[in-house]
Amino acid sequence: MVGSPSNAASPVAVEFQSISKNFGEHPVLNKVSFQAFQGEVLALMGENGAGKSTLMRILAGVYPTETYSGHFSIHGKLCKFSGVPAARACGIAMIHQELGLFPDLSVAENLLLEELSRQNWALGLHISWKEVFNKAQGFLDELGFSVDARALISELATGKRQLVEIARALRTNATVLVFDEPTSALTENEVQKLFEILKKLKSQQKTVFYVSHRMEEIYKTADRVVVLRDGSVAGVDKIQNINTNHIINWMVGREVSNVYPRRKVVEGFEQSTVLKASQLNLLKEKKVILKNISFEVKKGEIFGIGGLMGSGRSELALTLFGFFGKKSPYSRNMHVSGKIFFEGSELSRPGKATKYPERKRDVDVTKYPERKRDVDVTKYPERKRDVDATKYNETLWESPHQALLSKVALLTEDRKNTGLFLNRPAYENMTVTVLKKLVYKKSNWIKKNHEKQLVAGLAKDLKIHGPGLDVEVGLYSGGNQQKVALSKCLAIKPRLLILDEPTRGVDIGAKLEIYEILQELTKNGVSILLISSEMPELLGMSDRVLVLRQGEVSQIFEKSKNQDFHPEEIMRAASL
Amino acid sequence: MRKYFSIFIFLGAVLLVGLLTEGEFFSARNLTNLTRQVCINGILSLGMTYVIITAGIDLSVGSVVALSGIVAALLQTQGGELFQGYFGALLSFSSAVGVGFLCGLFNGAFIVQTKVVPFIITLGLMVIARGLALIFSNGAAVAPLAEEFNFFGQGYFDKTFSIALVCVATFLGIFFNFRTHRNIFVLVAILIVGGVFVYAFGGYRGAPVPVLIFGVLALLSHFFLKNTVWGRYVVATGSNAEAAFLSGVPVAGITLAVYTWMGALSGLSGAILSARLNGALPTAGDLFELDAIAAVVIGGTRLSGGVGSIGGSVLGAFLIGVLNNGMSLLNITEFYQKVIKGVIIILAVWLDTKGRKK
Repeated sequence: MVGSPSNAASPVAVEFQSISKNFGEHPVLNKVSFQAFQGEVLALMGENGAGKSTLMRILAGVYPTETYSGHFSIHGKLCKFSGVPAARACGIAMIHQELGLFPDLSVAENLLLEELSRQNWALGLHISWKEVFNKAQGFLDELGFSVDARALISELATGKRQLVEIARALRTNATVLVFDEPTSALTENEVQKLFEILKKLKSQQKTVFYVSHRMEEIYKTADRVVVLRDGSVAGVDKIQNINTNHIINWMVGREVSNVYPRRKVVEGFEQSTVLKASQLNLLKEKKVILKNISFEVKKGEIFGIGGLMGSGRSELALTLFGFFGKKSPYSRNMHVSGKIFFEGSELSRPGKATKYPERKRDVDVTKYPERKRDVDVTKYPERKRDVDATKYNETLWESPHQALLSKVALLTEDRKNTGLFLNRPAYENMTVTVLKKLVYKKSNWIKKNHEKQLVAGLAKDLKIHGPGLDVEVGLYSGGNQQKVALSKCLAIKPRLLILDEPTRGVDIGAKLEIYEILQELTKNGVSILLISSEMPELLGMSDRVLVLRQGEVSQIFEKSKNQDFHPEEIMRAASL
Repeated sequence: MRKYFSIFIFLGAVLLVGLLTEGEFFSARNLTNLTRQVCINGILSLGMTYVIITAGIDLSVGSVVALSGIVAALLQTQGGELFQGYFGALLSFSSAVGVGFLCGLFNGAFIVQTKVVPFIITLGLMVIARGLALIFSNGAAVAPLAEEFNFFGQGYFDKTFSIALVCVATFLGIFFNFRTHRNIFVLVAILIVGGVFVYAFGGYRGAPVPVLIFGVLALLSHFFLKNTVWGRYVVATGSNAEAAFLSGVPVAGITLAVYTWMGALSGLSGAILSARLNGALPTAGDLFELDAIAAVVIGGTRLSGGVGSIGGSVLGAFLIGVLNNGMSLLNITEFYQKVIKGVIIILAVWLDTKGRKK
């Protein structure tokens, strides 16, 4: 499928011809062919794992010629890159999602590294640092990026680093530029600057590949859209001819009517409080991170937590989960005070949660009642309750281990660093939280068959599609990695699920699936604490929203009967 | 196939050594000796595998071997009545293990408590333990030891008993392979290994005592790592300590246990070494830690943690053993042996990583 030129006069800049590539036996790209023209911004979209990044890496020489089949040409010239330098020499620059800067060098050095090394270094021993900094600062100012050229990269926030990365790519005078999710860490203001730069690049007859999940951006910047699905081109068209539904259909291959499932708290649930936090404080050395946080979470409710970056959202989640508790090695210099009531006695009777068989149906560790009976993951609700309901009724959990025992699970914000064991198989990741329940009676010996069934059930319920459950999870696509991380939480059959940015870096298909899973969970009485910086997600999913501002509760919003939240009010509460 | 790349390296080395020694290498006597030479480094590499899987390192191994060997020998020579006879030998032997256990506990406790990297803590203990060994022994050899004690290092089990044991182990291996992977390659390997052991032990004097200890420990370590909750926790800790902690894994406890286990195995090796040499030297065990690390790394365990196997480490230990043994048979002087061994360690790991990537 090859799209028609946006402008019959503009020549073809890049042409892919039936590019195919496998990772092991897992095909990632399957005969991808399309063209990109000079002077256009071509949006490349698709779910995670659809092959966008792989295709762009082939273009940028990260994967050399012999690792894929098919070929591509730039300005009519067949390209066979042996590596990144060859691609760069050919005028291709890529801004990576994962940043490739030197953290211990200054911004200026990172920007001008190649120019510095190209100088005759024997004579250039006396580098004029003043000149270097001025040159770099000038270039940054020209682009309109407010970044200090003298700062070290490691001192910069992620957004600023992203700007430096973009500036470095622009510095190379490339004719083909690849932006791989450039805006994920940028502020609104910086995004606007980036869009201006894209316009300028277009007017200079350069070709821009723009990989993004954000629809609004695509409409603002792109001339044409190419959508990949399962490694093949699912659709190509001019932006004027299509709308969001087209794109989503191409991406997921089916109709999508409503992104956020319309949901209601099940009747009767709203009377019982699952978690009550009162006067939570968190100090790091003398610095106040959380101050006097009090709130309640009802059974079967999605309780949203909003706020700007640095408002203490993630810290609140970690505090609730016992990460800064007495028994945690991460609690140094941290001081937590306050109280947490979890299914506290005066709020709901501890025995009440026995209506579990209901819930089991969908998350479903228990589809094998026969076998289970004697070894028995299912006996647990019973046994567990009298241990912790009494023990942890009115206290802070001292470690995540205790929180997990009380059936509270946390999905962390950063799945790569704090969520997953990337070099271990998916199945080990999924069962690590429940291993103790998968053993032969009172021994330490894992029942492998039992584990396999549990994993297969979870994979089916969460629709995890990876190269195989015994393949290391680092090789999974982002969306599926996230589902593996989520399945680790669901394996314990939580009563309270704390989700910190559950859909970050997840494509729309997987996102929808995650939303559906969350809805199912709440129907069965699981409460969810949802932290999200995506406003539509937060407002679309939550029943109530607590807005944090500089570590304090700014306001708690309630969704009234026939009225949705007002995004403006929430923004005001977060930033005032 | 690439998973078994190091096996081919190993077989290549065996074949080469066999050819160069004109078959002398393959005599039952030499093979029996080979297994006995391997077992000290083998036992150490079992512990080291666990340590390295948690992304740690233990440099104190060699010194702890010396210290515990000295303690066992001192108890034997100066311990009085209590340490005489079979019971006394067993008591001295266990004391050495106990000393190693305490050393490991020291390592583990300091690593968990101070959060100083294992490299530094164990480097410290390496020096401390060596010093203690010299202090206790006054810098001199402690010898001779009782025959009952030396049995742990020099003794042999009865031929029929040894062969029966090897057969049972082989059948168990086949049985487990059949129940789980059903991997033909592994099946053939088990049969060949079983056959070689039957030939070696049957053709000479039976199975050496330390080899049996090593074999039992290797099997235990393997199944523990693969099949138990704690084994899984060890791997999780090494793969991503913070994620492990957030998943309810007792990271501190696991770290402590792993170093203590390493220490106990070092103590055991020290006792076996003393028993084999009929005496203990305060300078014994020099650079044993490096041989153990080499065996583990040759076996495919990653220094970055989270990935590794006992089987690989045993293979690595045997590869190093075959080299040592072959070069001695060929009368290569020790100075050259060191150079060749170093080169081959680099080659083996390099070829292995290359083979894996393909």
